[in-house]
Amino acid sequence: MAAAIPKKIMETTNKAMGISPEDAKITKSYIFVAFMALLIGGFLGLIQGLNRAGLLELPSWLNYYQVLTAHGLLLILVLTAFFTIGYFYASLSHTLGGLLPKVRRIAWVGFWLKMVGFVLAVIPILMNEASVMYTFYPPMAAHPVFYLGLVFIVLGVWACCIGSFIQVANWRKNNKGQHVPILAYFATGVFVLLFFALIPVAIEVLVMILPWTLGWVETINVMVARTLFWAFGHTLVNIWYLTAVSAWYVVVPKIIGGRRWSDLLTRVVIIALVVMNITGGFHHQIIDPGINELVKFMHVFMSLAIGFPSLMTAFALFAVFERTARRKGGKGLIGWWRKMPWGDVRFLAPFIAMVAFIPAGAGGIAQSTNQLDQVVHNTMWIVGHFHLTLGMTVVMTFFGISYWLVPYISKRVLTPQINKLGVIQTWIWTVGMIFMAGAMHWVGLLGSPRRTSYTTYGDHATALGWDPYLMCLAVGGTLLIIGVILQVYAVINMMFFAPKGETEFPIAEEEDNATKTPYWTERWGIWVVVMLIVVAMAYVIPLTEFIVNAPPGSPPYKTW
Amino acid sequence: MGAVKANQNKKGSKETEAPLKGTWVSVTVVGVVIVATYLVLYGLYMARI
Repeated sequence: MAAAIPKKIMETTNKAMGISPEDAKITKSYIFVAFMALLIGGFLGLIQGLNRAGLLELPSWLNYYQVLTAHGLLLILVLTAFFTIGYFYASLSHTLGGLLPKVRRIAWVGFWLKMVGFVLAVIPILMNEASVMYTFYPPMAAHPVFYLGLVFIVLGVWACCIGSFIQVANWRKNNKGQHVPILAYFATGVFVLLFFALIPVAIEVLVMILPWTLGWVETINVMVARTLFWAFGHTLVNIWYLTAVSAWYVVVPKIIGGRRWSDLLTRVVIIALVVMNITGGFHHQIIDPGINELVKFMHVFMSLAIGFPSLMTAFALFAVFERTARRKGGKGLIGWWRKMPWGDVRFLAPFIAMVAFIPAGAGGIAQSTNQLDQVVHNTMWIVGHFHLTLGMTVVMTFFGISYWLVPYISKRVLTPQINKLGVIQTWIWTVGMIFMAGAMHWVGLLGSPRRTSYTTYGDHATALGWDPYLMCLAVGGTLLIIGVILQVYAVINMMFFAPKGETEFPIAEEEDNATKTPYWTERWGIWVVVMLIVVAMAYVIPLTEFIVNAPPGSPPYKTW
Repeated sequence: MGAVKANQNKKGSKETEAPLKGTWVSVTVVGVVIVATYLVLYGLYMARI
């Protein structure tokens, strides 16, 4: 089998396809920054894990919360935002016939705004003036420059959203009555979500936190700030998820030699995720005071509603796998799984990512329920859940994408050696995440809190009982850093050193007998209005209550 | 002749149509994981209140 893989990979990837050098440069820059963030953020994660396990004492000039803030900022904001934008801009370029010159300019403006913002945010973190962790919850207050940096990042992402809207609108103008190609449709959904999700966090930072940290106002309404943050934060999680899902629906079927499942179902899943997403933010506050039971119940319902498109996705993807495998001679009830290309990293990495989403999604569904969340709230379980969703489901899909996207934009090819390295990296990452996220889940059930540096609470028996699990966490973290190094090496190799050649942008075709997708799926104006109505239903009453019945408010605190 | 052709078409379409039984098995596994997670957390919740 191993001998057949390289030939197969060469056959399925290295076909002549083009990308203009200008468009390639944009994606290349975004992807490069994303993987550098992975490298630095990964090392910070290791330091954090070793410290949390009691194996490493940090020097006096570095504290746990500082490391946590930088780790979060680099991996949650920089890695994901830069990868998502780079990937979708390549998708827009490929499927819509190249980026418009003004869209390219906007993409660069967005890139540099984000870079400036990132540098501004990092400086106070390095100075230990912004160890507020990645959720930057008031009343913890960082240096104002940290928030100014966040404003620049928001502006940069908004610029990219606007660029994508211009690109898609131009294509629609020139192709009246046509369906936007499916990857560009995914990009539209993602950028619509990004655009609207950034509004609440921009209000939080610009209108509330910045004047408060600058001393222009004395207090801040903590509940309003938290609510605005999670309207963005939860949506961001699902933006990553939607990005990963785009590769599952469109790219993976092509790589395994199959066809896409129903185009209509795919577009309905995108619409459903866009319309219902922002309201899910409240389930992050399900234990918070000041929200009445009726509103919490409505939010549980809205959060669980997001599960439906995910279950539709599970069915669609399993169906694609089974159909493709059976066409290749797969037999038996589950024996057809053997026909999957397990030696091809472009399939293996996203496939394991999908499998990881089963327990990750299950945990998410359970955590959305008030009573069940009380068992795990603010424990390490949540951190484990987060690593399962972002670290496995999303990031492993990003890794899988990188093995064809990076050669595609670099006009190079994926070599059998790098494919093999990718397979090894995928398994190391998988084992590392199982150890780390598994230990986090378990120790969370035993009561170990999140967002806390190592302590034995005066050698309390309960806290000492967490130690074996924290050791597993450290072992997992060590394996993961090996995975990070291998992955970054693979990306650098494919970007700068792999043999020259043309790599295909893999997009699966629909089934031959596919039914025609109705045009109402293209009515983005309607979906945005529906989304805004749902958002208003979810947020107007609670926010009004928080403002009208506002507590005295809080002055800024520096807790570290 | 027409009937033979129709039967041939029917047979052909039956052959290309995958049964998707494995898909339903896989989706059931997903459902079981969700329910099991729910039950474990619910059990812990009940044990702790």
